[in-house]
Amino acid sequence: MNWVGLIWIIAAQADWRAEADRLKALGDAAGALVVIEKRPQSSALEDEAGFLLATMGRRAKAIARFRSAIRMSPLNSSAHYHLGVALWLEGNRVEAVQALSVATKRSPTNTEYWERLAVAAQEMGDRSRALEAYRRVLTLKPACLECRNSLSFLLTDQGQAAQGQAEALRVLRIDAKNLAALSNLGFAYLQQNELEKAIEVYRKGLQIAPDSAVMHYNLGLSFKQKDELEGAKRHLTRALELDSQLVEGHYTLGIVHWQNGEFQQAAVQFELAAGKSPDYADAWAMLGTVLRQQGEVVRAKQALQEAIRLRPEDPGPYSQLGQLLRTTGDFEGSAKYLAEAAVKKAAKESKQKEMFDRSSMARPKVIR
Amino acid sequence: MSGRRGFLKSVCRTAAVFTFDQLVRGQELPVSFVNVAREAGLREKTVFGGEKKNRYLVETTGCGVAFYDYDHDGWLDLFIVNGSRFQTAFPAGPPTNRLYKNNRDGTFTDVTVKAGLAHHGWGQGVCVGDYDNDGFDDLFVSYWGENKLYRNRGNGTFEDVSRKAGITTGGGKIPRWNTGCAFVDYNRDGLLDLFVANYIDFDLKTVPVPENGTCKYKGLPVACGPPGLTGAKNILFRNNGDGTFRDVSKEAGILNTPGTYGLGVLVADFDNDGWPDIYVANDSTSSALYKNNQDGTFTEIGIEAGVAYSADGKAQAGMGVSTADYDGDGLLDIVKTNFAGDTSSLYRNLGNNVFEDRTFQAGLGRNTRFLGWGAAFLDFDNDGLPDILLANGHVYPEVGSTDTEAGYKQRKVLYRNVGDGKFADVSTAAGPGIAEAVSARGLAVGDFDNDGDLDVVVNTMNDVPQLLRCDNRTGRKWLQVKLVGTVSNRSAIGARVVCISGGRRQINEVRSGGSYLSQSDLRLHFGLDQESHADLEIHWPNGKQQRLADVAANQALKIVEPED
Repeated sequence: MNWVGLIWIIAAQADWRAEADRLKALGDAAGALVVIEKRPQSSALEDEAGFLLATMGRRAKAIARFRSAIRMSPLNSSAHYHLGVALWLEGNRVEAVQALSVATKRSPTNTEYWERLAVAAQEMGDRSRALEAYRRVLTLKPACLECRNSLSFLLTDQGQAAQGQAEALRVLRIDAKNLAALSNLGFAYLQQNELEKAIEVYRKGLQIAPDSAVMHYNLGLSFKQKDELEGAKRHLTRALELDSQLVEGHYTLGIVHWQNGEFQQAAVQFELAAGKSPDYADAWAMLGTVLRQQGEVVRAKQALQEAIRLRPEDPGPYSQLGQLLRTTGDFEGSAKYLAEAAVKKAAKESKQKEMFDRSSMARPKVIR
Repeated sequence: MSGRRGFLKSVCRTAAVFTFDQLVRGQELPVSFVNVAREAGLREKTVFGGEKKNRYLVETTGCGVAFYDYDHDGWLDLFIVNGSRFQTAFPAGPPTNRLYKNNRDGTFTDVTVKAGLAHHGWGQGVCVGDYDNDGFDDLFVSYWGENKLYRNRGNGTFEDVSRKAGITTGGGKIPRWNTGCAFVDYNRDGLLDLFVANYIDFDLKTVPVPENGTCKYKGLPVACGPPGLTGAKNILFRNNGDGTFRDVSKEAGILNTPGTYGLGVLVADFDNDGWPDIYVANDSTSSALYKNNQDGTFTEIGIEAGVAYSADGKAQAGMGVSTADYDGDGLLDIVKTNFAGDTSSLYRNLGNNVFEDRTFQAGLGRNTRFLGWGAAFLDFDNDGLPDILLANGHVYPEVGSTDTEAGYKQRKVLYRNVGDGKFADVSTAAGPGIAEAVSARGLAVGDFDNDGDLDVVVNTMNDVPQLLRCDNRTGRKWLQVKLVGTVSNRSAIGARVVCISGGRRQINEVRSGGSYLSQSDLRLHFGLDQESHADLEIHWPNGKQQRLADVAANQALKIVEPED
């Protein structure tokens, strides 16, 4: 090839590249795709075509192009990454995490890939992979406070509350008013039974954001853990005033009323929780419990039956329903439910064979 | 605004701001519990597992304690069960159980060696009863390992008759983990039989350890179990009447229930049919109520009776148990301690083997941060209403001490019965003995100084026991009843006394075992408030009834069963 030919090719290349970029900038993904489709196939262009298809909402075709890009060059980390994102959006989460994981291997210094993998793994419940990913992100981008907050939450959630606390404190040293870090710090203190410290942290959070429903909820929960029920009521009520969709707030407030022997108020809160979140089995079970204790047989029965429908493996509502029917003279029905409770209990206990964790506590909410 | 209206408004405002408990707390309680253990001469530490951390669950559960008048001088002596520790040399000699003789002046003398009771091992529970009807109450101590039955010779010494009596539980591949115990004449033949709860089939060689990383509590690696380990089976020994016992667990129906994590044992006639039933607080699973079928067998009815689960139908980690008729309806109710993050349970007896969980209505739902062990109904202020005392402490020393009350060492909780089926938490007003934080386990009740109010002894983890003297300034009257069986068993265990005074009927029964692996005074105590006299009805275990009218208050009364 002579110099003229080479210059022509470069010019032509620059032409189509510029044209495609221009169209993309105008938001004309279809036009950009047409330009790209005219070029000879390559892994990079297949990846780009897939990306354009994805932005047009044609995810299935996009996925096919990403796969094609990977076939052409398995080392194309961008194609793996885009494939992972597209699969995630399609709901194929297992393969998505695999693809994102490959992307991070192919391009181990790309923070975006690690961050996306961390979020995906966290949402998948793959905590150890998420932890590792966040640690890598922070090695590459130590100033990412959001990433450190996520790491803090994960560590605490995984039972490493002291480390979670340390990470939250690192964020707060840089940004003392970081609400997410304060909520994570409170969570870490709660997990370590340091209730006074958790309360102090959540109070600080409320000084920064007095109308934060989450902070009020967490403070209410901390007071509840400390058996300071009046404080718990006050803050849970305020949380619900600020965010009436906080169904856990209704549930927890119901529990606090119940602890205090205020069954009517407890029933109202459980009913609200179950009404706003009809799949909330715990709320139905507790509604059944307090209604039974108030002697409201018919409504209690309905609530307990709903709890059983939602979570048939839980022995609690069966035994309660058994007791309830016994008091109404329905001995046959009572025996049936009590027998079922015993069966469910045995099944639950056999599943517990490998579980040794005796921790049990309500979880605070975190700010992301 | 008139003065009266202003006053009413301020009262209303107060009522809106303060809770009932807060108002009660604000009042001075005319009763105070003071820990006098050191002055009384109780200086030996109970040794049980590691002080900072433990590898095995068997190092965490602690042991019981007994108020026990072993020499029948009318003054309560003390028996403190002791434990052990792994991989430790004991240069001053291994820890042993302790018998302290009451010197009748507020002090005690350690007579363990002289009495022949020095024994080292992983001691668990203690219960008392005159199994051979010779007039001297004998002593049973349960172990992780071989149990011990000590026959009281009546001269201040004991004979180890464990093997001869046939109550040892060895012979299996692994040692049994025996826990709560109680002497009970379940077949009403006048001979005391023996019920022993069992916790876990626990094999040191196979049990997982914290280093495996699977056993955690709030993120801390801790001793594994009981979930994940195999529950053990309870045992019923029938008294043959010749100094020996026979294991009748199978034929009596005790083995019909699956192995459970049994701890506290409570014997009482819950259905008022004259036959003793047995309630067992199980850890991490449903608790059990063995109904006496009056034919030598039992049927487990815990779930049907409503005493197996919490109010919301969940299994709990039951530890200690006690009973009393707290609402005065003539039926014995139950209180049970549970794990931290849960409440204690109060089961109201409705009759016909039906109970109702009244924890939250009664005011016991407000405390969830304590991990409860010893439990007792006791009328500490002699007002004729049974109150509740709970001894607390965390299972895991690893939780350390936090700035909350949920650390390893915890204070006790005292609920005062205020009538109408409600209790008020008066813990913070009940004196330093209640407020002092220890890692408590067993708890027993009895009037060791014979001053007419009920004192308390608490066994602890790696600490000296607490002897909580009750200093009662109420001036209220009382009556103490010591029963002696003749046709029935000599200890009169199972006898029920109805005390009628000022229009109030109180009931209680002579009871072996109870609380958390402990033994309270075999004498019955009734608070009479301001009444100077009471009528007594005694229902002896063999079915006979006896009435005593117009008994004067403020005395310890000994009543012998009529033989005709």
